[in-house]
Amino acid sequence: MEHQEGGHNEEAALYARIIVGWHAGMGMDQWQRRFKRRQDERLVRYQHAVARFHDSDLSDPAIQLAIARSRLPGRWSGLTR
Amino acid sequence: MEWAYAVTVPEQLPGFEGAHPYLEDIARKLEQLASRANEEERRSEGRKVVRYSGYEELLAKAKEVYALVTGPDVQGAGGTSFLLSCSLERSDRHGDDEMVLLSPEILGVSPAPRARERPSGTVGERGARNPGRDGEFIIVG
Repeated sequence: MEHQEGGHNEEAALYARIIVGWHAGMGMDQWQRRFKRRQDERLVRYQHAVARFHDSDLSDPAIQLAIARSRLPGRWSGLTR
Repeated sequence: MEWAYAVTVPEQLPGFEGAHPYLEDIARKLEQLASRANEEERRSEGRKVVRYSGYEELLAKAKEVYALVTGPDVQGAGGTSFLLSCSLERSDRHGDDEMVLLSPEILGVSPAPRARERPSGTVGERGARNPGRDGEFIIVG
């Protein structure tokens, strides 16, 4: 049972790393392509959020949940507000 | 942000081409796993599984678990026995050598009632020797 729970946590941590890794590695590039390198407070918020998650303990279920729920438009970066 | 989730992961992250082609799918799966873990964590809060080989060992473990919430000033001198008795009655996962000690919050005795021993001072010990049956001590207020 403990092994199973540990396995689920590892799986969730991997998903969290993929999402955060994507944003940390490629999100900026995508953002700049889409918004023509426009710098504004939304970009700053996005960078800040990505950095915050990147430095977090991604094995923590609370952090994982926050990352997963941040997929909703505008919730994480404010890009669509 | 939805634009980010319309990009396939294999396109962006070679090596991650697996069962979940989109970040959106990964995020949904992550939400399921993390929600379940959070729920399990909440359910296990206030519950401590202890193993024991005899009553003395069980009482010793209960004293450790309830160390912060029992004592002469809280729950009375027989507080540990009282909480142990309540756990014994309420726990649905105890066998001959294992039981679940429930927190005072789950048992509904927190905040702790004011308590006092009987003058003889042996009441808590009587309760401890026979938890859940005639563990007598007086709770006032």
